[in-house]
Amino acid sequence: MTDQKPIAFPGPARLAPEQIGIGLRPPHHADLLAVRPQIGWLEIHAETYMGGGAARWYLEQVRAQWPVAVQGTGLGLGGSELPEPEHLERLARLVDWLDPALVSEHLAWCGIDGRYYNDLLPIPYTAESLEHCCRNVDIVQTRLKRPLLMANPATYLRFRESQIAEAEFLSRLSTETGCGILCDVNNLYVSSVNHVGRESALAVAEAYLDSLPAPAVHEIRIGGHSESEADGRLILVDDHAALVSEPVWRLYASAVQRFPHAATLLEWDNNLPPLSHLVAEAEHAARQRAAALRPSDLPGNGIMPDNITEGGDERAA
Amino acid sequence: MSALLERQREFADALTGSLHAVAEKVIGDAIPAEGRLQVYADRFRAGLLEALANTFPVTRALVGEAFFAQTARAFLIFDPPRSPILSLYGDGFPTFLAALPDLGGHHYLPDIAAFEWALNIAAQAEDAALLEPQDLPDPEDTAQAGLSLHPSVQRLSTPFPVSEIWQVHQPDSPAVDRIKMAGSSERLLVWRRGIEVCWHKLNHGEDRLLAELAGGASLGAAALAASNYADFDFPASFSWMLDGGIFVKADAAL
Repeated sequence: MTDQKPIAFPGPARLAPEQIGIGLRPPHHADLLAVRPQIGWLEIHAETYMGGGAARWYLEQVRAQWPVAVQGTGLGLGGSELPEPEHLERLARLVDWLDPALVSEHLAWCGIDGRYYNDLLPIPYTAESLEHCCRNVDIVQTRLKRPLLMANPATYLRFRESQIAEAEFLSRLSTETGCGILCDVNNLYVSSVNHVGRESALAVAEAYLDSLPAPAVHEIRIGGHSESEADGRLILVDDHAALVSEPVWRLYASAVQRFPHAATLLEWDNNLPPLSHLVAEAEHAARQRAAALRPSDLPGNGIMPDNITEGGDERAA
Repeated sequence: MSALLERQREFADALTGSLHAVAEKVIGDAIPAEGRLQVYADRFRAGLLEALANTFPVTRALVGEAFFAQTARAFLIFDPPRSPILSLYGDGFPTFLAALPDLGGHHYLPDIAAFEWALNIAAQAEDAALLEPQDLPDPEDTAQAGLSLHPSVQRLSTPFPVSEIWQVHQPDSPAVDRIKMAGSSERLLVWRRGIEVCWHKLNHGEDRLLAELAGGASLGAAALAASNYADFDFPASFSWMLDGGIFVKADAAL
């Protein structure tokens, strides 16, 4: 790996890594302000807060009490088109107003020719797509006047023409643009199972974590997935509709050991439980994180963090 | 054409129609390429169906879940979103409903959907600083002034009792035996005050007043046009509109 461009990341310093953040969803707005639970920070979906009204009103209250990060899902920076100017302006207005601790987007595309498909869609990993993505990230960082974090997507397929491993692609994107990396360990596990099967998934995911440039990883994301079937075979779907699974906790421990400076976010989008369930799951994440960083549990001593029971390959020493 | 652009276009086709073109570019193994693409196609359809169901709950209740789902699936293939903001999806749905050959006797359905769309837009329109009574200049100057409407303000005109039908499908609504359809046309105003979405049945004069103001007429000219209607009472109407947050300070969009 070549040397990284020196980049200023003023945001992450505002998020203490041991304090877990949770994704803020509108059904929790009122409860959050009434209960004021002990949570480290909140992350919003940018596209939910680009207008006025109730969403903006609640966000104004929330930002006064917690650090807030922004996750964009609508710029499609992995695509061949330039970031849509109006949408970039909407994001820039939100970011200028909110001054969030972090701003992230995804290594994916979401629309083409003026149509949008409400998903984070996969790209082939080629020299051409890397060039497009670097250009797009540059444009957004220049407009926002701050670095982005780029997240690894959950994928259900791979393109034959891909020539660059995803971790390598993110690493080169970071080197070329100065962007940071958001390591979504749930996405990583989902993609790994979907591409190599459950038996090899953890080993493949561990190798992926090994090949990310550790200093560039500023956020780790955890969330739930569900099991589905495609042509009668298991496929994992990244629906953020369940508790974090055991293998994802295991990958989380590995990620925390590699990226101890990174902030952690817990996400839940569908089948949304009461806020108190998310807070409890975030507390669980904080314990998992602390356990993973106990000296006796660092890789090489064969001791697993608590609550890790599912089989699979031992972590690489 | 760039290979990436070509792949995106083929992929978009896979979501809205044929998986064929992009399937041969995708690695198939234990799970064939078509099965993998189908996961994305299913997510696309399920996600947009849910978005439409959230935006048009009364429309859905009126026609039933099965008919709504069938219609929404046809719509989302015909007219995928034009914005990455999911809550802005569905502006073409009322018109799509109106073009269907058979609405099962629900002739008013497109207008119900249009009303629900207006409520949806009002909920998320930009904030703006409201015009307060003390912001109004002297009466003579006020008559010459144009007034800016709140960004959430929308007007609908319908030959059906849309607000009454909508009302009886609200969770806390009292039971109603029947709604009189004949001669029940409505002119509806939808807007947001603070964080609350509001609607109001306008009389002919009020509807005309707001139409004139929206078109840039001065308050005096708008009131004059509205006074052609016998039901128009300018002081009463202007007073509730001012109190209700219909008007904003000039150049007040935040």
